[in-house]
Formats: sequence, structure tokens, C-alpha cells
Amino acid sequence: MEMAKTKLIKDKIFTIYCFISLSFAILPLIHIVGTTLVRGIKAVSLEFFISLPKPPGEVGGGIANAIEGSIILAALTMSFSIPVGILTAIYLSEYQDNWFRNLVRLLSDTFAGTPSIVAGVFAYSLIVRKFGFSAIAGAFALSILAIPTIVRSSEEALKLVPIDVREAGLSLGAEKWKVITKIVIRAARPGIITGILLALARIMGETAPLLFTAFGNPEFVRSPFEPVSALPLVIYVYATSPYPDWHQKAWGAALILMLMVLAINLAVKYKLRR
Amino acid sequence: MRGDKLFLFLVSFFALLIVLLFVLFFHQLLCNSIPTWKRFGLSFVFGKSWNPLRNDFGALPFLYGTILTSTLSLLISVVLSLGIAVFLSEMAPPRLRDVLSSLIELIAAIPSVIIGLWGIFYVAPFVRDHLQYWLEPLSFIPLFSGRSLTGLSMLTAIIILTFMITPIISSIMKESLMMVPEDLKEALYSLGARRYEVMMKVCIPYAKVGILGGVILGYGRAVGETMAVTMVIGNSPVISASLLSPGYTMAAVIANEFTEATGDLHLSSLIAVAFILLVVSLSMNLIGRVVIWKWQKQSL
Amino acid sequence: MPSDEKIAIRNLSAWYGDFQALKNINMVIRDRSITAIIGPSGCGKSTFIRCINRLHELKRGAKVEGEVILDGRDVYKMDPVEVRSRMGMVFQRPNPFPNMSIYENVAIGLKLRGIKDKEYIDKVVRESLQKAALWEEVRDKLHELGTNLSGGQQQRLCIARAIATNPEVLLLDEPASALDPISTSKIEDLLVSLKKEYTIVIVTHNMQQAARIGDYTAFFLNGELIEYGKTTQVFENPRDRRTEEYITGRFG
Repeated sequence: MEMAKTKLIKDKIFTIYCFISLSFAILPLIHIVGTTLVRGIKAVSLEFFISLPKPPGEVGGGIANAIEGSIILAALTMSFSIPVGILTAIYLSEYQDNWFRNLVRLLSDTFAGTPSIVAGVFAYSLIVRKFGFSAIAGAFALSILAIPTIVRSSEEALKLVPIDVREAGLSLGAEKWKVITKIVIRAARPGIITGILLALARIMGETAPLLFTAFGNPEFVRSPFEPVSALPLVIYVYATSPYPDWHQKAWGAALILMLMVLAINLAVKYKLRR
Repeated sequence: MRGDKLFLFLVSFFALLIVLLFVLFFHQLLCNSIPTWKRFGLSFVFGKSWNPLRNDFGALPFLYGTILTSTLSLLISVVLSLGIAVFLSEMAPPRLRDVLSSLIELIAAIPSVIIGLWGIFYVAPFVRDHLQYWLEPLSFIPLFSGRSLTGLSMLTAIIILTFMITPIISSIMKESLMMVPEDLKEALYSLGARRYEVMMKVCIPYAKVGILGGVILGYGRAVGETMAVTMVIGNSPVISASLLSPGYTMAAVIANEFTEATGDLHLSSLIAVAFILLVVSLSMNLIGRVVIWKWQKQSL
Repeated sequence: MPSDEKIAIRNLSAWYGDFQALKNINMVIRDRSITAIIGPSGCGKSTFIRCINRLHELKRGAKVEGEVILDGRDVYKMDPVEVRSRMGMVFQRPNPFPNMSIYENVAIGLKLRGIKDKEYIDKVVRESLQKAALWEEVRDKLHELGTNLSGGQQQRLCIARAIATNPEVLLLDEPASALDPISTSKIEDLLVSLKKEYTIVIVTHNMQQAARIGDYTAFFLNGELIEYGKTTQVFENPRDRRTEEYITGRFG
């Protein structure tokens, strides 16, 4: 009887421990989202969205440069990463495996694990050293992170397409490359788009690779060869600055960034559920 | 058929690009850090002082900071993740499990810089104003000695890091636990065993390979985490036993000093640190994935 | 070559790696008729029709020897893409192309050939769906996903897709085995009506089906062609003992 009672108590303690663990994860999450909402809203105004920043210490201005920069970086990164990613995924899934394909797959997955700051160092030594800070350098660093994601999710999506879809396409008298591009890709389209969206959400939130590639810019940019700002960059710079006005703007930028990232993630989850 | 050959050529080209980029990656990091290796040799890795003004560079403070913060946050996170994984796999009804799992995955989706922002304005003050006083009774242990003026300390970094790696560790643990065959559990339950006994005696041992894989992957993530850590750790290249003093990690020093590097040796040393960081986190990643791959083979 | 011979198969053998799936097959497929291929599982029937439209060789470790003469020319000496474009194939499980509408499923064969004239494509889509006895059921929802249809409808869609490119030969690999009896009989009626225009080869594990719609029947066993002839003869007067055993259900 004694042992049974001890066991009951132990079990209750175990259950309580599980609950507490869960709350240590969920409660901070709610707090982060909540404070970002509450403090971010205070910073947001029309001026916030459309004006450029004022010099350090001065109150007012906005983060239009960062919004423009984030869009430019996302566009550049995706236009490079999507073709490379999808074509590589096709290479891996539509042809027979051999040692080279396995190597490519391994390297791509390994790239996926590289710390984002090191991707920035790579982009720096390859591009910034010769051409200076630029959006292109930033996009290159971000691509190192985006491509493996797109390769992996696209390859999975392609592999999910049943073999007889390909056979049916070939039996219509079409060449293999046409079957791949017009039929198989179409069939795998939802999975491929999901992978692209997730990669997009990830790179929009990345800061470290941009610190010494895109570098930041208080003005609007006219060409991708200039340094450019981005939402995560201004959050970092403003949050670590001594100016309360900038702190508030950091929260505002965080709100915008968080909403964008969460929106993409939720859209993907909703799509997957169908 | 010509179309097919051209297409194969095209896709092979891009795949080759990836291999080339990888080779280039290592090549660039190594080459651009050569001045440092030439000057200090391998003892750079264990050099204790980092002084840009005197051109004296050693990576040990950052290795120390990275390993200390990653290891401690890993330990805490494993404990938390296990509880979460057990809850989600055993105690929660399926709908609740899906909702909670999604919420936890959402943590991983939050950009690191936003977590750092929250860390600066909420966690650091919490450590400064409350947590360090709660820990005072333990201050005879060197780990908890001293006082932090700003709250920017290794302890704060550990709290943040724990929060950030828990999603990946708990989700892999949850998947591993869910693969334990029902009849194994039922056998023990029917003997009158309590849930914690079933967990400890059957489920966790069964799933231990998968759990290990998740842990290793989580460690790799912790090691590479940059922004949130650098915003709260205090950024001081001092090796101190106390968690309440500021510290520095490999990722953080690169983030902070790269754009203001004073001279070629400084920059090359930072790149050398980046190389070390890459090797460490890739090894963790590789080992973790091999372990997970073995777990997947075992469960087939 | 006699004028009603569409395809002549001479000394056809096929392998998957070391396993020989077809052993020296010699037979003919007659023009505008239904030739049924019957036999127990694993006897090589599916491999056989895949050797006709050169799909078999795309599998890993596959090898083919012998000749398949289509209208006097050996398909193995022709461009495989050209061979396949003269034939159409319908598979065991209905497989409309995912994420494409009914219209797009039927039209894709034409578009892949570079045909762009929208009116022409519309016409062919309508005619193909009509010939496949599906038009009336889908005419108002041509832009819905092909996969939204029922199993039997999907299979008729696949038939429409196969005939849209105006093939000479239709190869069907157990097209009704995944369908309910009503859909099955609809497809059987459909095939009988189609044989006026196309040469049809149908693999089936259902002997009654072969007896119902086949003009000619070939019985395969362990990769060998045991018997071939007019369906009435094969079923009522089999020449080989093994044929008789299979037909009377002693094995298979």
C-alpha cells in the first residue's frame, strides 16, 4: 500500500513537471507576441511607414528605407534561390541516384546547418571585398540559407508525385524534360510553393548575414549595388542604441516583421491542412 | 532527344553550382584567415586573450562562451523538452496536441532578432532586478557568484537560448516518443504501472536514439545562434566562472566587431573564428543527422 | 505483312536485371480489334504492353531483345518519343494529372506537341470526352480538377486523355481492376465502341472480361505466350492444357 501511494505521488509530480515544462515554452511565447503587439502598435503611424529615418538622437522619421530594403533583398534572394533550388531538386529527384547526386544532397543539407553569420562572412569575402557593401552581397548570403530549404522541400514534393503520373506523361509521346516541366512540376506545385514560402519567411527575419553585406542604408536605394537596409537590421541597430525613440521604432519594426513572418507561416499551415 | 540532353545539362549545372559553392565556402574562410593561422598557429584556438589594440588574438574566450552557454541551455532545454514531448505525445488529446505543437513550432519561426529585442527589454531587467537576487543563496557556487549591473550576462543568454532551441528538441522528442509501439505501453499499463513508470522504463529507452539525434541537432542550433545571444550576453571577451558576468560567443564577436575591425590581423582572426564556428556547428549537424538516420532505419 | 496486322511481335524477350520477365514472345495484334492479354499475376502481361510502347526500358536494369513491328517498322529502331506518340496508354489506377483541370488533362497531350490553336484544342477536347462517354457528365465543369471526379469517371478521363492525341493503338493495363462493377461495364462498352477507330490491347486479370470484349485472346504464363487465337477458340477449345486449367480456375 505504501509503495502504491508513493507511486501515485510520483506520477502526480511527473504530470505537474510536464505541465510546467509546457508553460515555460508557451508563456514566454505569448509574452513575446503580446509585448511586440502592444509596444509595436505605439510606434506605428503613417509617418513610420513612409518616411526615412532622422539622424541619431532626433525624434521622428520612419523606417521606409528598411521596408524598401527588405523587399529588395527578398526579391533578389528569391530570384536567385528559386531557380537554383528547384532545378537542383529536379536533378536529385527525376534522375537515378548515383554518388554525385548523393553528394549534392548531402552538401545541400549541410549548407542548411550553417550558422547564418558564417554565410555572411562568406558573402563578405567573396563579394564585399571586391565590390563593397551591396544588396547583392546580402542577397547572396541569404541565398546560402534559402537554397537548401527550397531544394529539400521541392525534392520531397517531387518525390511524392506517383511514378505513374510520369509514365502517363511519357506515354502521351512527350519528351522527358517536357513531362518534368509541364506535368510533374505542376503536380508538385503546392509542395514547392510551400517550401518557397517557408524559405521566404526565414530569410526575411535574418539579421546576421546582413550585418556586413547589405550593411544598412538610411536612404532609399536606386540600384542593387548599393548598401541597403532591412527590417531585422534596424531592429538590431535601434534596439542596441541608447535612444528611446529608436527603441520604440525597433518595436514597431518588430511588429511588422513578426506579422509578416507569422502570416506566411500560418498561410502555409492552412494550405497544408487542405 | 536533344531537348532531354540539354535539360539534363541545365539541371546538372545548377547542382554542380552547389558543390562549387560549398568548396568555395571552405576555401574562402580558410584562405582569408591564413594571416591568423600563420601568426598564431593552432594555439589561436586556445589563446586566452583577445586584444585588437595590441594585435593579440585568441579564440578561447569565445569557445568558452559558446560552449558554456550552449551546453547549459541544452541541459535545461532537454529537461523542458522531455516534459513537453511527454505531454504532447501521451497526455494531450489529438486536437490539443496539434494546436500546442503548432504554437511551439511558431517559436522557431520568430526571428532571432525579435527574441533578442525582447531579451534586452524584458529578460535582462528580470535577471538584473529579480533573478540574481533569487540566486543569492547559491552564490557560494562560483557559477552564481557576482552581480550583474545591467542584466546583460551569460545567464540571460542561456535563458534566451534555452527558449529558442526547445522547439526543435521537443518536436523531435515528441516524434520519437510517438513511434513507441502501442502494445509495448499497453503491456506495462495493464500490469498496473503508472504513466511515469511507463515513460521512464519503456518509452524513453525505446526512443533514445531519436531523442539523442534531436539533442545533437539542438546543440548545433545553439552553437550557431547569433543575434539573440549577442544582444543580451554583454559582449565582453573575458573568461569568467560566473554566469552573471558578461561573456562572448563566437557568433557574437563576429557580429559585433566585423565591420569595425582594426587591421588585417583583426579581420583575419574574426574569419578564423568563423571557420571554427562553421566546423563545430557542421560537425554537430552531421553527427545529429547520422544519428537520426540510424534511428529511422531502426524503426523500420 | 497481312493487311489486318497492326503490330507483329517477334522473339520478344525482356528482363528486369537478372530476372527474365518475357521469354521469346511471338504474336500479332490485329488492326481495329480488341486483343485481350490474360494470365496469373506476375506472368509478364504488364511488361508485355510496356515493351510495345517502350516504357519498359526506362526502368532501372531493364533490357529488351527482339522486335515489335508497327506497320512494318520496328519500334526499337525508331525514336521512342515518336513511338509513344502513336500510342496511348491507360493505367491500372486512374491517374489524371494532379492539379490540372479536366480540360487541361485532355488538352495537355496536344499542347505538348506545340498545338496552340485554342478552337482546335476545344474541339478535340470535346470530341475525346464524347468518345470516352464522359462529355455529358463534365461539360459544365471542365475547369474543375480532374482528381475531383469519381474513380470510374477518372478512368474515362484518362481514356479521353489518351485518345486526344489521335493514337493508332490503345494499350490498357487492367483499366477496370480498381473500379466498381458498374464503372467496369461502362468502360467495357466504351472499349467496344472505340475499336472501330483504334487497335486495342487490354491486359486483364478478369477472364470474363476478356471473354466479353476480346476479339482475340493471348494467355501468358511465367513470361511465355502459351496460347493465342480468337477468343471463342481460346475459351471454348483451348489447345494447351495449361490454358484450360487457367480458364477453368484450377490456378491463378
